[in-house]
Amino acid sequence: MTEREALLRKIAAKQFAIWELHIYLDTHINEPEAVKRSKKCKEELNVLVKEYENEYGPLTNDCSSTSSAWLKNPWPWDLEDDD
Amino acid sequence: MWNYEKRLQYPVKIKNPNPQFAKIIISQYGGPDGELGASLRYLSQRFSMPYPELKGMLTDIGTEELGHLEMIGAIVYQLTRNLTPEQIKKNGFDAYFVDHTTGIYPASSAGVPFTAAYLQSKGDCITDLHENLAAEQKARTTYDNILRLVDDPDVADAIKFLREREVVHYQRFGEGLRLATDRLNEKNFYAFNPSFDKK
Repeated sequence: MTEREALLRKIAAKQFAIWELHIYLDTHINEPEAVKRSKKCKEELNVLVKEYENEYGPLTNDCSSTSSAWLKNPWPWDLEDDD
Repeated sequence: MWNYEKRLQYPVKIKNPNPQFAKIIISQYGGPDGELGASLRYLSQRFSMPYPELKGMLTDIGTEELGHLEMIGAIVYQLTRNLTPEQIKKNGFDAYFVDHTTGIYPASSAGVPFTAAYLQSKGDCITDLHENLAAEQKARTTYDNILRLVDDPDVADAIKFLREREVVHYQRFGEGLRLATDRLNEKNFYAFNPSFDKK
């Protein structure tokens, strides 16, 4: 696993926790423990995303980055080993 | 509106191409219980959903299904790279290959193209939520069947993640159904369709 992949996995894990809490909150509105955990995960995620985007380019197209950085390989379905 | 994130919901990294597995797994792209049908079902049904929790749930789960569609596309793409004509013929991938080369096309494993007849949007929240509960179980069974046929740990890892999501979505839809029936006539849930009938 490359360093980029390892960091992206950390981001995916954090995003997953946030997403799981988000859909839980659809049917458990404002449940305090889930809200608290979601907030904590979002803070941790922001740090990881900033680190990733500084090093490897934007994860979303609203990132203040150049179009060439957005277009850069690998795309999510690509295997880096093939490049 | 939607925003794209340049990542998969769960990583897909398959070392060994295998066109036989690709032929099986394409069914979850465009087959009868696949992720394309799931996302279209939920994202279409939400317009007539009566309660804010149900609108949110259908939007969120429908959106997640689009992420799953992308994961299935990535799995099939990675399973079909660097193939020789001999590998394609030997593994039964030739029937798909002749029409699509190694492009990703929404069809079932048996080659039936995707059709909207796989899904329903009935304009009745009880009916639609039951459709969705059934859809999640059908997809879960399909993933169980894929796991019976696939012995590559790289493939099974991503498929197990997707299988587990079906179980979680089933749980959420069950809660949504309860939220809906709590607001209806408990002696006859069907007396009044909150998506259509006027109070």
